Amino acid sequence: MTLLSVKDLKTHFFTDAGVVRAVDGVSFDLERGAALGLVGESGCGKSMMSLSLMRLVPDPPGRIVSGGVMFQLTQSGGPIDLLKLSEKQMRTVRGKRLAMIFQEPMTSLNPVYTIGDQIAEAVSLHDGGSRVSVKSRVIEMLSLVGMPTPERRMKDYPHQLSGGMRQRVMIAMALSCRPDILIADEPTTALDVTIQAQILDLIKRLQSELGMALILVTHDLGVVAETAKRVIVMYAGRFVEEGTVEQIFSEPMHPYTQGLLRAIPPLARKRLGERFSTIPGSVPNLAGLPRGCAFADRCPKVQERCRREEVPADPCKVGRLARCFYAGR
Amino acid sequence: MSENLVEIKGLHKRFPIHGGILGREVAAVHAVRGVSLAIAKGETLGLVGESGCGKSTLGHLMLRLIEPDDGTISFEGKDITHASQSKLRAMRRRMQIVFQDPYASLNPRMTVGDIVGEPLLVHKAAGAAGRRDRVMELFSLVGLGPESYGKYPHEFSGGQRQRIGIARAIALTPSFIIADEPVSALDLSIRGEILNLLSDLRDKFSLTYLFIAHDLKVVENISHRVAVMYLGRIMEIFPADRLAEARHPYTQALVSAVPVPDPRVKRARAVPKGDVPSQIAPPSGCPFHPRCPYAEAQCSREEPALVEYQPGFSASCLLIDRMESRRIGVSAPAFAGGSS
Repeated sequence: MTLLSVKDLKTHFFTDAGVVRAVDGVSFDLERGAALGLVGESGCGKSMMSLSLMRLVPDPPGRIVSGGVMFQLTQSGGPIDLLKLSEKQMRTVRGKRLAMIFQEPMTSLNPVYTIGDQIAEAVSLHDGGSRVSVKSRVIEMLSLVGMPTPERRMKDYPHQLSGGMRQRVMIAMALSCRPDILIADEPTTALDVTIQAQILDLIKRLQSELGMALILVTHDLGVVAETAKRVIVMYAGRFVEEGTVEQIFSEPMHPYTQGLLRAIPPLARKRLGERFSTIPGSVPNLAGLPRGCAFADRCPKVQERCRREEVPADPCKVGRLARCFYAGR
Repeated sequence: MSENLVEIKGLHKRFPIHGGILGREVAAVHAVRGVSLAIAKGETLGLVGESGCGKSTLGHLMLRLIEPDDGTISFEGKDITHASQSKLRAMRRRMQIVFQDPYASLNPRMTVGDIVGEPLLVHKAAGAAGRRDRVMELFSLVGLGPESYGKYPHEFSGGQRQRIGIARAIALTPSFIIADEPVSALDLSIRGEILNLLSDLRDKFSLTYLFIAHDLKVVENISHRVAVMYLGRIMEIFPADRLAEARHPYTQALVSAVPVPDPRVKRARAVPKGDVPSQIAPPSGCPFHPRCPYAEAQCSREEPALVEYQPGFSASCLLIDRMESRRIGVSAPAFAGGSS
């Protein structure tokens, strides 16, 4: 069943340098319990996309200018557009039905409260309950995310914890109200590789145990391959390709996806002095993008047509989103 | 490769922590604990490790940007451990560093021409006119246009800024360059360009690199040999193209933790449990023993020395003879070919 349906969402930033189209007409569906990976490089709009779903876009200068975020809040009734809710109504959804964890667990936690108090705040705000029941819920959540001796550690302050443990606390807080959807924005980027592996395994385990849907936002294709079932590739504010994880990694259709995959250095190279594959040029300035395909200046297959015409979602009829006139060729 | 360009022996560095009203030393961060390494002329030695393992401190010690507490450093056959500042200044023409953050390492108020020309000015390597010519030459070597000369760093993208940092590092034709996480701050699609540039310059000027990074994939692809560091110690050194034969449990843990960009590969992970211990009170014996799946009683008592266990491979592990090289499941990426 479709849990979340995003339709033609546009989030723009009105700056002195012009209108920055950070999210420029994106649409996708998320099924209950699904794992979606959203991949892109810095500045492609992937973080603004997730903040838009939470209605946390910094305003001003940013604003969701159009579109719909249809959320199936109840089993029986029809979906409700989150963008049409009042701020007060949105507060009953945010954190409870739709939760988010961020890249930097240190700046996302309050340094002057114990982690137990911070998780308890989330629990009592949304679910209420007696002090005793809130406390037992906090301990339950901390042990769920693999925190050793939770009764003792709940009295710790954030600075007493390592980066990996802080991210576990963030996950415990986000999941304390059993949300339907967890948005994880670069959850392991600030962590070391061995700790990253632990946190990814934890997110995957909790996702299947709790049956929640996951939107994993990352720049790391390896993380996506190991965690997501469906993948969306984002470039310059738009979705350029979408598919199952197998389709994206085995039959990438968009030249940008293909370039990104080639740019990953292999673990265990074949010979010394092999060249690294790259995509020439750099990400375009999102204020004042020219007509046509935003990837045209970096694309090896570019034709005159690409700079002239807007590219539809699937011009080559490959059966999924592949925003390129020469997809797969 | 014959002669060693850089050689360090038994290097130690601790950073004291002061506390209390008297400001007495209450503890110390043990950043580098008895590291010995040699880098041959023309070699690229990769240095990998997780944050806080001491890899950047080690790089700074080699250039004597910070002073070691113990041990020796020699460069081009000369012991520079106690060289005077004026001698060091002369040596520093031959040894340079490229920093991680291309935003913080360039002065925002200087033009790019002045940034790249500054080493020439400091070392009186060229007159005013010669300096401009040399800067232009350096620009073309690193792929920057001549119009960059009068621009400021903020006008450049991350990748272009890293080119500026590299141009500055090679301005005095050094023989040794430390690249400290040169691509970590860059997007995947432009990393390759900078890595290719570093390899081209290496071939052109027979440079010797110490390439520091936390990303095993990057290090392994650009280096001749790789040294793995953990809590201030070298855990293993191996030829970069023979990663699959490396036997140290920590190296294998690092390899196993790297996410594989291929959904068809389902590998059993051997991710080490727990956190990296504090460098203030590192564990006794082998620093990895609290997280090591193979640890025995002796591992917490005895400090393993770095010993060669097969030609070209050295490790600090008491049990190395019993460790097997895992056939690490490192297949080619799913999509390696082109579709053009």
